[in-house]
Amino acid sequence: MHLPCNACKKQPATVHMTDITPQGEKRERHLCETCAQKEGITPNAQGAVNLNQMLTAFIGGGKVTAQQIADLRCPKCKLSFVEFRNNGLLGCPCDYDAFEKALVSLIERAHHGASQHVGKTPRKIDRPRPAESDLIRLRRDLVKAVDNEQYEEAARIRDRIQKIETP
Amino acid sequence: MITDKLAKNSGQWLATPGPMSEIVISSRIRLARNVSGYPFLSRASDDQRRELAERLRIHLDSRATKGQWEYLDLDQVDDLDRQMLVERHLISRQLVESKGTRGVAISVDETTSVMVNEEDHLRIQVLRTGMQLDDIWNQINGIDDRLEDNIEYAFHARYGYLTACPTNVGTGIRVSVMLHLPALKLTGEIERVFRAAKDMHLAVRGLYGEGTEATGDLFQISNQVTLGRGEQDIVNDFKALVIPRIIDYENLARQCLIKERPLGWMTVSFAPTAF
Ligand SMILES: [Zn+2]
Ligand SMILES: [Zn+2]
Repeated sequence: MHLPCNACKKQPATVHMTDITPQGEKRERHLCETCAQKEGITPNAQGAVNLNQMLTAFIGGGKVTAQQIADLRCPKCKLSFVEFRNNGLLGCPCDYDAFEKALVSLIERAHHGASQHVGKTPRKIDRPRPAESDLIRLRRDLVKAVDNEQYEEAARIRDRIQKIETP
Repeated sequence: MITDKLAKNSGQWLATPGPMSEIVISSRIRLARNVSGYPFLSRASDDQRRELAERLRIHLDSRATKGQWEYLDLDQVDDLDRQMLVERHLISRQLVESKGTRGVAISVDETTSVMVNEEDHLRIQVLRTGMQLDDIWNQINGIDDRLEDNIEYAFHARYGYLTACPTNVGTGIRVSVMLHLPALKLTGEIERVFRAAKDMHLAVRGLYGEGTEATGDLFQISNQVTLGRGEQDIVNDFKALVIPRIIDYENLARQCLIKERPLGWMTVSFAPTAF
């Protein structure tokens, strides 16, 4: 994948963003690191704009800032998302939840779009609880809705996800 | 000092050819695992590293008592022996170069090793000559089951087995097959294999053995996706789809070289419907 940068059209794009215009249109942009920095997007935030934040931006009318992502920090091992982006290694198992907002899109990109484990599970661990499998299904529906640009439907699904996540 | 058992063995199993060995040099599977309740190694204190190694050693040593395994504390292994372990693919260079308490349990037949405190708390690996992925998977799955009886792994309902690097998360499995492809290399057709492999999210890299001559005819092909596909499916891709096709292409290329026929009509694809 050597997409040229949308701004300078010279360097390969390494920062990929999806944002929502004030008119509610989904817009994809691909920038090189230099041009991204010029626009105030830090390299550490590349690829980190995910669905949830995208929707937050759409629904709340606000703008997703790289700062929100840079501020993520694991409460347990104290690793910050910026530190993770700099050395590529997570600090503890909790980071997967602490950084979830920013990490999901990275994980999906590394695993051909997948973000749900299939395969062996420890025998000691019980099958996922119903709420968890609901969540998995809803997250999948959410991705589909956004891909099809059905943002109102996506917002509804997002609300249901939030209801399950914060009982 | 490496024990006599290992030194005498001198990796002789490598001299015994395995199935499809005229093209498939060796096959390997590794599993990445971490222990629940501990940070990953980049955030682990010296005490935590030591504690992890001690806990893991007990479970690895319990089998060593039966004379099947040998646990080596890497700090107690001299440079020459470390080099030998790397050359026999029993430990990684990363394990050698990292600091702090770390070790490896090695089966006496030298086909299996479990690295402790490498990038992840545990890196289990089984390596055999030729194409033996089914046997390897059964063996490594059993080792993993037995460890899991005693250790609680870091596991997530959504992401599976948690690893220090998110590129290994999920199954934590890396399947690699080492292939000898002189004809595809000589005819330049290897480029097409590269592209077809890339389409299937497989990594192919030319292998230049450490300390050995750079032959340029050896290629290692391995999976990159570890999340969203089961272990058995990943193994089956290699066994039923990818490796048999590459073997066919290599054999075709060899025949064409002998008959001096052009290869232009050949297409390379791993897609199930093609070919
Ligand atoms: Zn640019
Ligand atoms: Zn953490």
